[in-house]
Amino acid sequence: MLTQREGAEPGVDVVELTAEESRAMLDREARHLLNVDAEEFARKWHAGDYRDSADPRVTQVAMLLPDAW
Amino acid sequence: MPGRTPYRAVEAFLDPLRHALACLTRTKILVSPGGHEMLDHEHFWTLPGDRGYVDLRGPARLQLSCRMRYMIIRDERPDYGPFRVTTRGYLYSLRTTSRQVVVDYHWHPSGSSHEKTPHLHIGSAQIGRDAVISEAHHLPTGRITVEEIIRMAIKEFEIEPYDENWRDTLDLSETPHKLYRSWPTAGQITPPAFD
Repeated sequence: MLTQREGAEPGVDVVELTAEESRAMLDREARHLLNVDAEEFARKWHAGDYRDSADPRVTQVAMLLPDAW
Repeated sequence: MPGRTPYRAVEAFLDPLRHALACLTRTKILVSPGGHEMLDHEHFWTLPGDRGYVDLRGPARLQLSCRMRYMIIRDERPDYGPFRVTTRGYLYSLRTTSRQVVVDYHWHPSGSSHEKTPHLHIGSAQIGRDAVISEAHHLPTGRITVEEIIRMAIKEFEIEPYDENWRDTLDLSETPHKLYRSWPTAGQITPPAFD
């Protein structure tokens, strides 16, 4: 590949999360940043409650929401 | 970047990022469930740690968070497929170890905000009391790559790289992305919902 040096493996691995791990991550961030749990954040997001929100923390949490965009 | 299979397309997408991030840190890229195979479905990758932040080496005591949303799609164009990854948004953030945001770079064309083009936010702790700017302001930028954030961290904030050849590594890592992306800057063309 163009971007790999011959024989050089980068010191950063890729790990695919389980569904449980992904949900736990979303829940932790939603609680920490927005004081809501994952379910509440998802409900509010899909209901449009965060529409036009300028709060960068909403974006940070939404990046972890399945099918958010 | 294209691949013969969805998995190969994701590998082609993530491998340059692995090399780029390895210039600054020894961490993992966490991919959302199904993020290597499921077509036409939004996935994300993020770094681990407290809210996705990893420690950086250097006197400024900074941490870095990188997140992207992407889709694996079919592309029939010659040299663009049969499968490739299209990015749907990004978030890059530098903060201090005391959790004060320094600067956030965002692109969220389908997100909640009215701002659909790439932009940055200055962290509130970086803004003086009488400033006109606030952390909520969306300051326009061109499309920003992970490599550009890493270069900035090293050059501007004296972050100590792990890779003494970081300039070459970042140039190599960035090249395939710049070859295949369909829009580079916010002002050149209106970015599509996906590239």
